[in-house]
Amino acid sequence: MPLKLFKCDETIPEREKHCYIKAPGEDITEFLPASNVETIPGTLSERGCSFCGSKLVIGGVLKDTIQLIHGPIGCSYDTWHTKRYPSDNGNFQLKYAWSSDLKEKHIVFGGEKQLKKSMIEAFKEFPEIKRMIVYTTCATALIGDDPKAVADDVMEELGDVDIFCSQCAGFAGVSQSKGHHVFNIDWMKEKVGTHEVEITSEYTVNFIGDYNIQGDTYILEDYMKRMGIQIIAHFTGNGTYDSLRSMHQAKLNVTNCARSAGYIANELKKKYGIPRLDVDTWGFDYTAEALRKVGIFFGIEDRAEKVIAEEITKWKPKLDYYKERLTGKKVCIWTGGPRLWHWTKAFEDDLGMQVLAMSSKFGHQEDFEKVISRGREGTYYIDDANELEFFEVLGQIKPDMVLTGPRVGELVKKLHLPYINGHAYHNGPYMGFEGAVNMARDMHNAIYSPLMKLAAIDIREQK
Amino acid sequence: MQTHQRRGTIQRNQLNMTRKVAFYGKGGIGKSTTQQNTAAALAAVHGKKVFIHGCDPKADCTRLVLGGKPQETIMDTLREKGEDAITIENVVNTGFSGIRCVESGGPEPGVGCAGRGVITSINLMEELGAYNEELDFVHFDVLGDVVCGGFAMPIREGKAQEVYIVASGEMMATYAANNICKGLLKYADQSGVRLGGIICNSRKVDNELEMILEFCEALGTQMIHFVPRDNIVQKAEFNKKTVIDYDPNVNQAHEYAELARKIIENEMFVKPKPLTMPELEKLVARYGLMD
Repeated sequence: MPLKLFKCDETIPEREKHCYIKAPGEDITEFLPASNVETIPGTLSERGCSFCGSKLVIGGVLKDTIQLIHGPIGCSYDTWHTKRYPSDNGNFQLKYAWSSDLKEKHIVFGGEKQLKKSMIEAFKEFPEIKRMIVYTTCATALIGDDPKAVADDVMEELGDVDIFCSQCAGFAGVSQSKGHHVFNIDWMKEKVGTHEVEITSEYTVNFIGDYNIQGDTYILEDYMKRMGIQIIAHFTGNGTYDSLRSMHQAKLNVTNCARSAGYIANELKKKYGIPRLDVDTWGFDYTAEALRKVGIFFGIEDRAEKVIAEEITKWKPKLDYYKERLTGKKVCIWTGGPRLWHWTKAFEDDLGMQVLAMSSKFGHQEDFEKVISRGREGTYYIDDANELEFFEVLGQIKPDMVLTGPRVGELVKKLHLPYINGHAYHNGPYMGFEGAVNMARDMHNAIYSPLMKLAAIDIREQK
Repeated sequence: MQTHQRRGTIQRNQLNMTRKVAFYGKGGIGKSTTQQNTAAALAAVHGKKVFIHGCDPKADCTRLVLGGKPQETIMDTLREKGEDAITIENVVNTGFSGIRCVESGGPEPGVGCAGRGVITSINLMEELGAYNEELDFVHFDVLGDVVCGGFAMPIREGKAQEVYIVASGEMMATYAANNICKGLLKYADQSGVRLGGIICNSRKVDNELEMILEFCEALGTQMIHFVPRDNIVQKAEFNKKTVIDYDPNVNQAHEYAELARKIIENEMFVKPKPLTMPELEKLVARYGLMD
């Protein structure tokens, strides 16, 4: 069965190109949903803006950096705090939001003076912080403000600070994906190679494309440490500004999220010849495979096997407990893009679950190639799905649980279906062996909680 | 030549409704000079109540009427004192023959968004009721080229209903006028704005009158008046005055009075038919190369 037009999309038949149901014997050379193209008018797209892709996903994770949003106040609040990425320095990055707070008069007369004032003020308020990222937004991009010139000025004036400018307005691309891209490329061009860290191991990696959601990074760092590997930079979970400037020092780029950070891995390969190794750090079996691959690269397979064995001993019984209860359960994954291909087979192999519908907000063709290759037959693969389509899918496959963001999650709850926060997690971390168990536990608790069943009972008639 | 008469124009004039008029034209063509001299004639000769809203960030659309008095612009007030400080008393000044004047103002060249400044200031003036019903004419004097949406603000829904383009026989002025017509056409259906005619501000180039007449015919409009070149205009300007204010008895004063009369009595409001580039080039070349 090729592409599918939902009933709710009868008035926007162009949506047919964006939904595929995999049939037996078919492969990705035959059918692939259209992706990373402009949103179709009439569809209630859930995509984010390109500025948000740069700020909320990548830059905003850094734990020692002022994140100054050059634009109206709303751009700042709406890209703050909605993802839970803690840090080991008291969550500096989650506590504060910064904005140049532009008003009508700044738009008319230019916002550069206000930007400079805000930058100086921010550094003054946080004297221990010496690093800053300035983000342009739609308004400031349109009026042609030059944040780089202002940044140079401020760097010269203050002497001991370093500033990066992310120039990616909200309208720069079809989705948030463009923001990931711009941040990667500009950081590579302007900052990588401008700082060096002390090398303490002959095995050095950059860990690319993990954002320390509820502590994912700590788990990965622990594995690397036990294998004797030094992480030069974590792009960008629990990361520091200067570590990202030192990415050229690593011998290997271990890449988890290929969508948001594959670009910088490629650039590092081109410019510095650092190989890119793609791994999955979600899922029990996948994590073991990831550690093995890193072990093989450095010729330290024994160390990898040791860590794997220790972790399996510790976590496998717990995973098995959940596997017994989750086998055969049907779920949907409606997230950004890469989690579709990270999770679908992991759920199947680790827990015996079935992923029957997947939707990506900003995945590219490459992401759909991966997920359709890894995913089940009969499963829905949807690009940029909207709420009406979600409801139609739910009606057809009747899943036990949905992994998605809080907004769609709240809608799903109205049908008395449990949801797990697929972006920021319920009770993470979800990465690594431990994370796979946490995730299984959360899914188990969601499915077996009596809450949704109780919520469905109308007690008004009862005396 | 077909004329698309604007709905209700005559009735509106009879009821003495305010006519909102926008002046466009290539930068340096003498647009603001012509606009102010026309305003002065409307007020002093024909007894009309006129309000000028300058929409050029340089804020030089009211200088002759106000006798060179520097005026605090709407945008300056917004920047320095905030939106609440913008009141009619604070930003509107009265000049020659009771003409009320306001300037949008805006940023220096190269920064910010002057177009947004035009939008903001027109909205503010509307909110404050500055363009009130007692006025006979509201003039919007707009920066040379309609470079972005902001400079088209004066011809959007509910704002200026008629446009006069100041042009001359020079090639670039004709190009600019043609471009302005393209912009005007975009808004003609949604806002009802119409072209009232071309004002030829003579540069004394060869075959100027003939060329402009043919250009107007091609556009489907009229040359509402041919304003001859006269140094008295510069002399008056040097004295920070309009010609009628400086010397009401000179010929040029009569020319502006005549232009004002034609505007008052104008009934020809059209959707222009802008020329294609090859058509325009052919026209210009024919007159430009003629001996």
